[in-house]
Amino acid sequence: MPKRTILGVYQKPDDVAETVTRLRQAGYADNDFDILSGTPYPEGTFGEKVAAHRLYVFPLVGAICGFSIALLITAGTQLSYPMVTGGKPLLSIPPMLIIMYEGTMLGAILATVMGVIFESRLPRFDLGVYDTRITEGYLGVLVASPEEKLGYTEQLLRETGAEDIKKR
Amino acid sequence: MQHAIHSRHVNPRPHLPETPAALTRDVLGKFSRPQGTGLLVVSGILVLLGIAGFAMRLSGGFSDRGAWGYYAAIYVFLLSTAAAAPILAVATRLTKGYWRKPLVRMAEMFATVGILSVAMLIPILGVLPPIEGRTTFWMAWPDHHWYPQMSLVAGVLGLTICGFGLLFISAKPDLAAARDHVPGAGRGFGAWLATGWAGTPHQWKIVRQGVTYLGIFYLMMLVGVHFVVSVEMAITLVPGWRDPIFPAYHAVSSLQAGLAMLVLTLGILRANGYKEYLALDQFWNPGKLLMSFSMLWFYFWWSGFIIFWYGRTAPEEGVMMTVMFGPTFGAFIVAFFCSFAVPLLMLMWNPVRVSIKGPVIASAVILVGNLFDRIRIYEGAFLVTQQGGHFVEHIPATRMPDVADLLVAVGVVGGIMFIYLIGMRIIPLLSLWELKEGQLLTETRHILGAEVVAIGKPE
Repeated sequence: MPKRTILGVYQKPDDVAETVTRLRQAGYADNDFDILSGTPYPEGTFGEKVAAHRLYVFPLVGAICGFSIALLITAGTQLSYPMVTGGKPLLSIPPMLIIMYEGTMLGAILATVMGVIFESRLPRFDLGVYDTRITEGYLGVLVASPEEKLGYTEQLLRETGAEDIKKR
Repeated sequence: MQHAIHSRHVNPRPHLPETPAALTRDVLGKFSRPQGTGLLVVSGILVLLGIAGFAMRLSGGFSDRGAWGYYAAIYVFLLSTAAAAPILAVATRLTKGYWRKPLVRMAEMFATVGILSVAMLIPILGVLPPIEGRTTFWMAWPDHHWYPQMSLVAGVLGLTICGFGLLFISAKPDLAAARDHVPGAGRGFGAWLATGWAGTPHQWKIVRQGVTYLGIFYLMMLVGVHFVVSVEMAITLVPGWRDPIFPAYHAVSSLQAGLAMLVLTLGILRANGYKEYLALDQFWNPGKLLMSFSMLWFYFWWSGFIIFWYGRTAPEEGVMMTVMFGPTFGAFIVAFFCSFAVPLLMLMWNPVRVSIKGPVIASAVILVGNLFDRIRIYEGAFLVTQQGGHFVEHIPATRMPDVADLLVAVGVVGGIMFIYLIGMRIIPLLSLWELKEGQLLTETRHILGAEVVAIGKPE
């Protein structure tokens, strides 16, 4: 079933909270609507679903990769040139730790930056339905509505205090 | 304390526009019409002078390590100040310090200076010897020859990438605001970086988490870099120098200098268009930290020094003479007074600490102290040309800076200003989203006759 996107622009946070409640009552699932804001409101302010994320996986995987590469460089090169000096162990752990620490950090940093871009679904060159007033303090409720429910949804948004409606 | 504040008629808190729309207009107005064009030109000229000084130094080749001592000192000064300045943003974010909001971006903007850190490291890699001929913990296996250089490159590069990542992610919502409201060319390249930002709860959560992660990594990386730099560029060049406290001293003195660099910058910005955003709170709170770091400077220096002073073995005497009482004795005295004694004696007084000028002046003194501290360490260490041995056999003579050294120093100061000024033309210098969050979560209330600020901390 084709869906269209409709955006209601609000000034008051209370109206947005009411809109979320009404949308749920109207049969919309949590994934069918989203809140847009220029300010990071505390999670759950509008009764919206608390967003889950997997960002923590990225630094973890990056750190493991960085550590492995650093281990490969340090241990691999020493094992490739097996020269025992003064009866000491072939692998000298303390110097290796420095490179491995830096490798781990480097991997974690690069993966975190990539993770933020990936998890934020960026870059997205087509912003879709949007209103520039959102970064000025207004709030947006973005609804993915079936074509036949579009009129009803628009009416719902107006009833809950939307100052402006945009559709696509 | 209240008396001290009121007696100066200074509002402790910033006076921000009252609505999000007004705040957005004001912040983006400052962004689209940046000040300091004259300073940008002057700093550009200083950079050119620095490049000329670098060319003069380069013409002498890499073989004379002593000639590169001041260059190394200035380089480490750069790492200790500009590279450490974003730490205040990181630390106050992690501890949820409310007063940070107007100054976090000003601190993070110093991450851009990482470009200069990477560029200036390149000749040092050529000047530093491989592991042969110096006391080092790297084992003398064929594959280890260039590990000191490798660890330096990995550390500085990692720190720079982390800094840029931190700045980019933290600025993304504000770049979106610039995209939406700054007309034409004024929105700049930065707005392009915000492509796709709509401000969904999911995006906000990712930004918050990303900034937290990268902030922690930045702190971890900075400490690691100071360990590697102090070991590879100082300790291992001086025969007989074994001091586990020194890398910690190096990191702590860097945090002190980074904070001082930021407070001095805040003072300059307050006088140039950011007065409403930078009030007493933004100077008084870092002032307390500066005083603590001044005491920590002494504690860490003393902890290392007392072992050498009472040990008095030949290696210990050699180290003391090389980096404290020998060729760089004058620099050591200046460092001692400007990093510890003078700022502590200034900031221990309430009227000085609870003011705007006091912490700014103390910061300028600390920066002078840190520069001379790095000179006494790195100029001293680079002057030692002895290969191997268990102690410094001949204490080197004092070498005064030449024209090339002075030009490089001027160039680095110019470079920091130049890159910072370019940065504030690409990214807003105020963290708009955090200021708006502050507006949302802050309320002034009255308890009987007193006026208090109630701050919401949702997490």
